[in-house]
Amino acid sequence: MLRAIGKRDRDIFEEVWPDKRRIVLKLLRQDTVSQREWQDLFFGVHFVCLWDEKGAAKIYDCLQQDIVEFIVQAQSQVQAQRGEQALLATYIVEWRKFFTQSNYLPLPFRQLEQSPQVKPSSSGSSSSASVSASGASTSAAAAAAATSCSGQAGKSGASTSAAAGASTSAAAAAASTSASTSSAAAAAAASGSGSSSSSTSTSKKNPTEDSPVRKLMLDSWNKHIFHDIKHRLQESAMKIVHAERNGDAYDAQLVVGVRESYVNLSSNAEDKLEIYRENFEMAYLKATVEFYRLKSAEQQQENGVLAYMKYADSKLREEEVRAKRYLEPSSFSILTYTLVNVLIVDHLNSIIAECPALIRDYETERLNLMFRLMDRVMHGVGVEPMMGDLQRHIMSAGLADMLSASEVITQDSEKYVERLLELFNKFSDLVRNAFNDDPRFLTARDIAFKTVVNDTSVFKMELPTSIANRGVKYTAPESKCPELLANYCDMLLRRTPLSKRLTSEQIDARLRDVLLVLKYVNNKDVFMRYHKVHLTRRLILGTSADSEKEEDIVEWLREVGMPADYVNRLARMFQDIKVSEDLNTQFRTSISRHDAINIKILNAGAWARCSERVSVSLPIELEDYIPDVEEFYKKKHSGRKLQWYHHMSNGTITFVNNFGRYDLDVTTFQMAVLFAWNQRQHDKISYENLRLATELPDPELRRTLWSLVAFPKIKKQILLMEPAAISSPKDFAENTMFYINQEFAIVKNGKSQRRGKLNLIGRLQLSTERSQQEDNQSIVQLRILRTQEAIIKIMKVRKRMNNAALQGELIDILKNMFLPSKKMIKEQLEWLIENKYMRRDDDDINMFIYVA
Amino acid sequence: MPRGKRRAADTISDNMDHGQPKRARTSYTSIPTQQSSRRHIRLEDGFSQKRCMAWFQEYTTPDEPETLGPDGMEKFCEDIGVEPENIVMLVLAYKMGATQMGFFSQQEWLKGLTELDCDSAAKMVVKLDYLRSILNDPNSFKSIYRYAYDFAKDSDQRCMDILTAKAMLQLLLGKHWPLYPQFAQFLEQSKYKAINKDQWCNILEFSRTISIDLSNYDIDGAWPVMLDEFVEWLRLQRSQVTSTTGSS
Repeated sequence: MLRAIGKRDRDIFEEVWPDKRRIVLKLLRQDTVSQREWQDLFFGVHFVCLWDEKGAAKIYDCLQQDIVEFIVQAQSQVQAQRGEQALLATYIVEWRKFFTQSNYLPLPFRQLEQSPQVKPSSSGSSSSASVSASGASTSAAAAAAATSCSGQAGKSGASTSAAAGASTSAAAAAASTSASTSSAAAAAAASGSGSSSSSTSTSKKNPTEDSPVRKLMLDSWNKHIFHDIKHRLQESAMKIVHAERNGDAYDAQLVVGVRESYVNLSSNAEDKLEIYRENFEMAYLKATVEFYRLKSAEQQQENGVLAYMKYADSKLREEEVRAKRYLEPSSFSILTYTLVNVLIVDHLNSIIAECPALIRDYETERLNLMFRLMDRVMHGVGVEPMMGDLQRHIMSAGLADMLSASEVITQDSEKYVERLLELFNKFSDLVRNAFNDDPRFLTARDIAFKTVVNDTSVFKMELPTSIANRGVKYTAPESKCPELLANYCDMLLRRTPLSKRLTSEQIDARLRDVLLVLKYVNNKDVFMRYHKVHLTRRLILGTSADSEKEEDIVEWLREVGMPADYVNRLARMFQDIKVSEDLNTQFRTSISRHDAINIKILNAGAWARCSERVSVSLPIELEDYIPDVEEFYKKKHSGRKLQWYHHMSNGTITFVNNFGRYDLDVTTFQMAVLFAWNQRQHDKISYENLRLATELPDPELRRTLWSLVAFPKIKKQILLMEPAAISSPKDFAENTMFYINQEFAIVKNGKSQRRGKLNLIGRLQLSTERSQQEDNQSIVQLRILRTQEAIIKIMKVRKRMNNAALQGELIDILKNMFLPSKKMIKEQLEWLIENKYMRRDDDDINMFIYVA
Repeated sequence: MPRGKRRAADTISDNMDHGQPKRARTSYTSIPTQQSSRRHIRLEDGFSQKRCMAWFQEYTTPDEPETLGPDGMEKFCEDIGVEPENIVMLVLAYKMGATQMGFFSQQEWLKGLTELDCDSAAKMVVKLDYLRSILNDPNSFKSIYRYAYDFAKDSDQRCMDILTAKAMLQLLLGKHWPLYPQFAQFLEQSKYKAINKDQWCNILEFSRTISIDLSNYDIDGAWPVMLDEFVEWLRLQRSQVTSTTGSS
């Protein structure tokens, strides 16, 4: 029995497989395989695995030999080719055939994967059959064996017909057996059905890609053919790419085919691109670097840097297109990185060296090209030098422009502002056209323009850096820009030739331009101070061109971030003027006199820092009004006190001399002086007597008289003096004589007019003895107070704070108005410590503690 | 022991009983006796408030019995063997909590000497080393340094005038701070008339933390402007010296 079984096993594999192997070989060669043959192959593998214990292993070994043999033949085909393209073409053809089969051939051999599972099932079936009909089984087996032996012995030589006959005899013997035989047949059928079901479920769980046969095929190909010729394959592929880059004829599909083989060849399920990345991608990157390292050097040397930038840009785009054909998507970023390095980074210094000249010459197209290239470089290595160049250019060009026009713009605020705006617009255009309004370049522009605006080399105001009483007096130059901006605003808002020439929309646009420039000013508090002084004059003299615009600009100042208390005071000023108008209407109805009188009640808090009152002996016509006004106001607001500021007042008088009659707009001081000649039109009055009559302080009287004897822009003066050769009000002596100019007349078109109106007010004096330096010093004083106030605010909240954090918050609070110097901050901290608002931690001088 | 005391008393009584002419010789004779008696007592007894007060009276005048003034201070210094300008006197003043330089009130005296367990010059001499050693502790030094500001400035002024400041700085930092000579020179050439408490305190911190080459000075730190100016001045001085050396 044992021998019979052994014989049967060997016979089964050797009997069945040779026929099936022929089918396998046909598949490998991609010969035509009929459906019957295909099904026979499945059946054969199944049959051998089922009945032959070692059948699976035998099939696998035999299959491996056939695959290797096939690959060796393919390899000889490929290596027989001599030309590069022929090599690639042949390889691709062979590979594609092989790869196609790697998807089909594993299918019939799925049984091999399941052979360990099949054996237990088969044993179970056999055992079951034996148990159910042991006797019958033995008989059937013996019968079958006898039949077989008889068949073979009966015939000499193997032939087809003889085999068929033997099979028929066996079947007939089985049919003649009893019910026991039928039971054995049923058991065999059941066993077959189970195997089939198991095979079906297994195929669902294991896709073809995981097939060991497929892996066997791919690994064998890699081992026996690819490994030997892959370098030659890569070299050939890269030569084709090289030819393409040089504009020669090429066949792209050859490269694509090679790449596909790299990708598909991988049998590693977890990293399908392993072979591709380690071989094809690496070779591609290396070839790219080698090509462009040489080519880029040639290009730059032959055509210059500017042309090279175009070359680099076009090649980067070209390579992006090429990559989509030849590379897997996962390679795009590393290719770009590589290209950026070889085409841009390696030439960075040469390219950047061109940047200052391009900026200077406003070569926006080339700058944009350079920017596109540099923006590809990581970590801002390329862009940052360009930003630096832009910043330096704007600073130097802006300052040079200001300097070249300094004689004009230091006198004419309109031209100054226009100049600044032209510069700003020019630089903004540059940033937009060359750098696409990239935020980094906008920032560089802002930093540079701020430097121009705050520069002190063209002109400056001298601000003392500390209080004079400290004994040491320094001055630190600050930009005059905010003062000129305020002057320009005044020209736009006041009734001037400029404001009359422009339309309302144009004025709005220019005011907004001023605010744009103001954003870049460091010492905004200077602007606010001058703006407020101008506003005061406009409101008191009623010279605003458009009251709506006056209030608009207050809101605009709020929008650009001016401190609320500043803006609120300006708003309060407008309110005071309106309230005063109402009061004036009521006052006029409460008295019987009919002179035109206009009283302005001004809130001291909002209009603060007017200078001290100047005493003056008013003309009786004015003086009589004062008690009436005070009485009137007291009825409405008891408990309030009025302070009179005569130097801020003005009026109109009728002036009559021998020649004509004129209406003169004059200040109160001018009025007081001129009234001295009432009742004595032809008298000469000495300086001494005028002082007695008017009670004006000496400086005020000198200034007022000078405005009457030497008013600019008029040909004939109101007053004459003896001696006539005085050239300055300082030269007035006690006995200098003044008298009415009986020949005074308003001259128009060279002709003297007998009637007319003339404004002698000129620039309203809001301060008396104040000098420019004193005004500037008061700015510093105010800054000191603001700094102290800000420190107290911070410390009240924080209680404890270290120096660095305190300074940071302090600058945040103050920077909208001015940037305090470190020295100023230190001085205020020391002052607050000395006056016990704050103290230092005993163990840490950098820690401040608030003292309630 | 009690018998010893009685003998001393008896001796004194006997001297008083004799006539005036004999007193001179008796006094001379009695000095050794008295010393012997005191030494004996000191060795046997601790602090005596009564003795302490009696000692204080030696330095006061009938006009102001409760205040030890400049003249008394001078004598006191002689008795304990130190110069009035010695820093140990400052430490002693600190222990007493004295509020005015050159003056000790009776209350301050009693408080300080009680703490020091001293009721005689001899005991004070022994304590001087202890007082000097207090200066070696950084925290104690700092307290004494800060105390010195209020102690040394005129009580009717807010700040210490520059001359007083220089003298006090010499006393306190002259031996420890290598840059003290330069700082004194800086004060000399500057226009500062006075030093406020905050500046005073920061000078000590500066002397303790800033290296001789000024390399670790932080201009952006919280140092007072005076010290910013000192650093700037000193760097300028040094660069000029370097320049001079280079040129020669």
